[in-house]
Amino acid sequence: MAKTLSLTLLLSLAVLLPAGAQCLRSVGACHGSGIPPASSRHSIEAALAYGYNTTERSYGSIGLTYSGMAARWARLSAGAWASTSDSYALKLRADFSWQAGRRGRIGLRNHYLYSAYAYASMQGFDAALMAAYDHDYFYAGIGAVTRLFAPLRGGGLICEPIDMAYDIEGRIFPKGHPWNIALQITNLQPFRTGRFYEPELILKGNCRVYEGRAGRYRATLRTAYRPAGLLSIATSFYGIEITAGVICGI
Amino acid sequence: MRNIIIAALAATLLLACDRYDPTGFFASPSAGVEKRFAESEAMSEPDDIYLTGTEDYTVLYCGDVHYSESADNLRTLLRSATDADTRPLLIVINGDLTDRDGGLREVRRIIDGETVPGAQPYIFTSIGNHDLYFNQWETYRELFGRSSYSFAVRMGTVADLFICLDTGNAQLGRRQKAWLERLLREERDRYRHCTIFTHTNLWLTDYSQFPTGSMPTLETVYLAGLAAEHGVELFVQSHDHHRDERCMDGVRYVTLDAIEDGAANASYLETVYGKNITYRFIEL
Repeated sequence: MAKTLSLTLLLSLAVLLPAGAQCLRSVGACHGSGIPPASSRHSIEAALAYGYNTTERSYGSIGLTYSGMAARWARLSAGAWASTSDSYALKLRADFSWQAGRRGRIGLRNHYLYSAYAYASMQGFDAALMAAYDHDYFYAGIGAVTRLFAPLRGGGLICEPIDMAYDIEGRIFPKGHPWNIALQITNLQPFRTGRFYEPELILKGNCRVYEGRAGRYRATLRTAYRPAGLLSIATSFYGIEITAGVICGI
Repeated sequence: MRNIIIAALAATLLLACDRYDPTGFFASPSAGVEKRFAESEAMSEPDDIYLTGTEDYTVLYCGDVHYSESADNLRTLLRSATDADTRPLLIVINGDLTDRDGGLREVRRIIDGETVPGAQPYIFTSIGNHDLYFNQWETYRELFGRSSYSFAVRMGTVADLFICLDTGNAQLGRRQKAWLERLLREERDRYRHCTIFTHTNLWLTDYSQFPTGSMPTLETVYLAGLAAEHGVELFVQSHDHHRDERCMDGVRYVTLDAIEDGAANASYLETVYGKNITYRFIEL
């Protein structure tokens, strides 16, 4: 089922991007974690990943995210993700931001994620709220996340009422630069959330590959490392993930 | 001010150097879970326990002894269980036996001093993250045996399955997962009750041990799904030092208090295995 769904999403992407993209003057850089500047209107991000972790072993995944400005201070995102490990996710995200100083924005970030772990007959729901500051060279957000777990078919539910959410990123160039490299540590991945002791250590970059009447395209590359047992001082390797994507600004 | 902070951090590390193994922030302080499981597989499983009658039997679960200078609570538990008119059949000490380099031998000495080898109550242990500090896996293996194992309690035609998982590194590893899946798939249906006990807790429902981490989310999901699929009735955990009881999809997840000396809420779990499994916390 996972492979069929992944192929369907891939084919949809191949039709959607060229047909749906229209150009605006600027596209925000590093769409993943930063609060895009108000001049961005719409963007579509597609990403393919290869990952390995000791729970799911090797997997491939595809993710598709649409992002649009609802107002100068509000950006809404929605995305879908499927993995060959037979897990799936849907996300909604809302970023509210206001100018703070010449080069920064402060804001609130809402993040909702539904996950279906079909291989374990389990499902989860995460809701996070973070306060964030986005500067040309860095992003820092901290907040809380509530998590629910339930079986896909059985009864009962377990709530993890409050956990810490964080996202810290440093860039070598300011946003909007034709290319950029960033280091990030976070427990809120694009389509997965981890508990506070499950940070991903991420090296990522993006570069502008095309600007024209058909839109502005950025290529992205993200490599992530995740340890287990970190804050129990019995650390060991848990997983890695390499993601390549493209963002099209409309 | 900066110098004072640096000096305070250095002093803390130096004073704690025989209790905390900071190398564990960077790599496993002992052999990793794959190696531990491979070495455990080379050892024989514990013997099954045979009961002559079909009466109910009692199992005591405790955890987080954290032996450093003393383990009086553990000693009290063992002594009262051994002296009781009706002794529990088993006592499970669910990980974090010691806090310090060399402490495992002291815990073994305490256990041997308060119990009779080969007689009730039979003692079983699981390995905790603290037991891995200072490269103590080989000592643990020498003194307590396998870190992953299973055994049965047999009463005539009825038998109950007990499974101990090694979650000292907060994950099972590939080999242990394959072993667990095969065991549940091929053996579970032959048993009346199935209990899993392991040190690291699955659910982040309490922040009392912040910033200590536990199981990765995906490992939690995997184990919860596996336990529900194969009718595991009781899943006993420690690590969090704070009792918790959850139920989902037919599996009861019980997290133990710490039995560590000085713990404000030191307790153990008294579990009776009969037609059903019933339990209660007993405070020390």
